[in-house]
Amino acid sequence: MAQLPPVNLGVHIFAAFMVVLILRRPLEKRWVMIADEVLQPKRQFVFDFLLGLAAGLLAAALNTSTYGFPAASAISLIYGVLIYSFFIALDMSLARERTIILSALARNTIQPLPKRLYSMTRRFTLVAVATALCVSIVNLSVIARDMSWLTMVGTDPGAVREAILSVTYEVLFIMAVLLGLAVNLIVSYSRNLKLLFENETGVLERVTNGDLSRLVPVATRDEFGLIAGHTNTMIEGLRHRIELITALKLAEEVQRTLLPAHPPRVPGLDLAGASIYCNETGGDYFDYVRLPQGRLGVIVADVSGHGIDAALFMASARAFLLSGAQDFKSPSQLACDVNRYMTRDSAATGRFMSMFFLEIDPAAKTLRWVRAGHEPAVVYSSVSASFSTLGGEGIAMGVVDHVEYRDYAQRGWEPGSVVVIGTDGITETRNKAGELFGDERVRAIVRANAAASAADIQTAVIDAVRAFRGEAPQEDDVTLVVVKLL
Amino acid sequence: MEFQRSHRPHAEKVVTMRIILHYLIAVVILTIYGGQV
Repeated sequence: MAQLPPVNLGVHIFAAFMVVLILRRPLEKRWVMIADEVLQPKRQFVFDFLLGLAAGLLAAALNTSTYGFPAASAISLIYGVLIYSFFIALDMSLARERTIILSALARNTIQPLPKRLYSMTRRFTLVAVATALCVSIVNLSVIARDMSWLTMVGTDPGAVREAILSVTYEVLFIMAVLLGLAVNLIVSYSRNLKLLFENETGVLERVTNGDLSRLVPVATRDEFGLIAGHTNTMIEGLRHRIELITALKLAEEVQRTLLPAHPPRVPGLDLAGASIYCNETGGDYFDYVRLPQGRLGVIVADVSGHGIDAALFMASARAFLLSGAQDFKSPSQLACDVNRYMTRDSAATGRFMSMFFLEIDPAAKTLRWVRAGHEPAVVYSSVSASFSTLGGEGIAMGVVDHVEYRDYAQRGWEPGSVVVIGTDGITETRNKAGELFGDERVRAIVRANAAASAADIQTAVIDAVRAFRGEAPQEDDVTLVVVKLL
Repeated sequence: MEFQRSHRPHAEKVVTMRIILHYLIAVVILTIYGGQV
């Protein structure tokens, strides 16, 4: 073969590669392209490596049949083609992977995470070791062949110099080819990595800016695919959370509409009320109900717990209360009726509700109330500068089906008296040191502001509770209704 | 889908050009050294 003119050899090698090239496209479509996208790069490698082998075998066969190629030369040719095919197959595999990544990016379709991951580090190690082996084998082959050749050159200085030059050029050429192939692989792999990094960081940048509209396309089954899959799970979780927060905000707005925007104007009374929830939604409730003959009903209720479930329970309790007030006979009768309905609803949840219902008759100057497990109302008499309570017995509603609540009444009041009805969220507010706000602080504020309007008294108490709590978290809803009896 | 109509054939062409280039270089190198690496 050494005597064979290069052009003759080249023609057959060229012909072999052309045949393979012509067959390549249809075969690639049938074997590589039909595979799942994540499997295509691996198939592409095997496919191009086998095609290279086929080209080598064909070229060797052609040269053997035409020029009587010796077996050693044929094997040598196949060996050279195999080494080169290894680099071609790797490069084409990376090119296939790049096409898939670009395709996934353009489609923005999200594939499920592959069940079996093919670790990038494992792949990198395999490729690096195989490349190092190929380079070493080629170098060893060349060195062995040239050493053997040099021993045959003889001792003629001119021939030796020429042989050394020839060997040097050959080694340099082969090193340049191998270096070129290795650099090409590195550049190809870097391009893929860059695409994958841009893919991931681009979406994460959007997420950082609050844009959750895009997910990361899962284009590979290595760690990048895994990271993309986890990022997508995170984005979907964030979307779900935002939906929940939006729904909670809506629930908060709806619940706000269930509380009176402002108190009714009733001659002889000055009213103010407010609820501050510790979450978006709460379980506290207050309301004013106009009753026959100019009387007014004031409701303050507290559902056990807080949050969305307490808010729903409160909403149904409100419906029962307002419905029952249409046919109002007495506070105790209302409490009995509402308790019956609520017990049916609360049986499965274990929720209950405390309530204080105060019926005020400004004309007769009488107070009538029922207490269902709620804190007693506090009455401050500005004339005697003393406190009394509107107490009584009665368990919380929604616990026992049939409860006989009792009406309690007080006839007459001193003008300027202040009735304060609150929930335990006020007295049980804790500061950072763990101290309770307590009943005494409420009374002190009421006493100090007794001459002020109901709204001012209510604001003073709420502000004092906030100031007392300071940086500590609000643990319970706070509701306060202040009635000034004129 | 848009990518498949317009970009994908382009990407395939790039891949095809790449393999042609590889094969040509292979033919030249193997011809020069007669496959005897």
